[in-house]
Amino acid sequence: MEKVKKIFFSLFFFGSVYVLNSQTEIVRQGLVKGMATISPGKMFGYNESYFYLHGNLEGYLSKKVSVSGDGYMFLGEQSKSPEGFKYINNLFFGLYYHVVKGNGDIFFGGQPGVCIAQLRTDSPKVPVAHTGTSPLFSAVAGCNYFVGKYFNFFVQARYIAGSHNYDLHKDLSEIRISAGLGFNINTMKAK
Amino acid sequence: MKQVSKIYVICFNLFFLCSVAQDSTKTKRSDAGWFSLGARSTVSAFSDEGAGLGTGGQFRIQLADQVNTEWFADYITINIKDKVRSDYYHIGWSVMYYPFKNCKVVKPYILAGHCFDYNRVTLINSPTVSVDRWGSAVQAGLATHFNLTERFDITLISQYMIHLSTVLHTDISSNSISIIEEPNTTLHGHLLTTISLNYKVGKLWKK
Repeated sequence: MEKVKKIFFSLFFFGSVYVLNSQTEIVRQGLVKGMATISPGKMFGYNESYFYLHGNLEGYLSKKVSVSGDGYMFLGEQSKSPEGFKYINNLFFGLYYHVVKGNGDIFFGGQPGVCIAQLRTDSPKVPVAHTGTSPLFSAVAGCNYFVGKYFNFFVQARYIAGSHNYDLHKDLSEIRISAGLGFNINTMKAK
Repeated sequence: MKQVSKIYVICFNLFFLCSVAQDSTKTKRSDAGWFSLGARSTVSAFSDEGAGLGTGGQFRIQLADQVNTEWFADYITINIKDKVRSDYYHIGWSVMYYPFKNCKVVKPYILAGHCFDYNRVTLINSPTVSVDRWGSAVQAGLATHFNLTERFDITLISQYMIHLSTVLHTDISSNSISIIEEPNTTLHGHLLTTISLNYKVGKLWKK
């Protein structure tokens, strides 16, 4: 019985410490977060769907503004097209504006970027394919939920606009969805 | 007793003067010295090549309350009738003048500046056929900041850029495509509409 009491007391003690710790403000200046997830995408205007490995590193400059770099690496396609892409890789960099309430964080922002892509050579229209770099515009909206000091759940949608003009003109307009578990750490002490 | 009251009066006056001086320094705090960093997307339109999209970045150094400078780099690509790709690389600067002093959320401004540009025109299906030129350009326009916080702003710029160099003219007919480098005898340029997100990183000097 003594042992059970001790276990209950320890659980209560550590539980209270965890709750107290989690009550300190997580989203603040100096928060750094990162994640990697599988992101499906759907192109507008073509019956082509791709999926990517999406990685992100983000630093909060203040409670409301963060700077973010995102990378998408092509993994494969869900629906094939002869004039589709052999691969599409993207890099984005920009700023997000956050509306924070408790541990919840709704954000939106803009990220200009570049696309490094190559077409497939399955179509007679594309006998030879070259790798090309194209500028992109992207708008992002989503939300994070911070669970304690080190983890967060996130979901985000990204609209991409641009055009690939190598070997054949292709519109790069696409919507991509990312969701999953991310990691975060506060690099600065709370004021 | 009179001496004590005199001391009190002097102390009160000194305190009052100090507080007034502090208030006046608060209101006179200058915006000069701010260094900002930002990322931008640009739409190029109203040129004989058609519309295009660009990506880039910039930094700003504010010189005075009403004068700011912007230093930018852009990479713009234009698809000409699905046959030809025209790539522009701009690197330049603009001076920004804020005509209205007490604007906090929406802050309009006038800008004018200069840039160096490189243009390469390539056939989409034959990338070995390519012509390029180096040049210079001037730009001017209207813009506004939307200040979401004290340090973060979204800026919308609309400016016309006039090229001061030779022009790569593309002529597309039903069975041939020609790219000709012509001397710039007419007003040749494009309207650039830019949306950028910027953050004031810190002050380079205090005033």
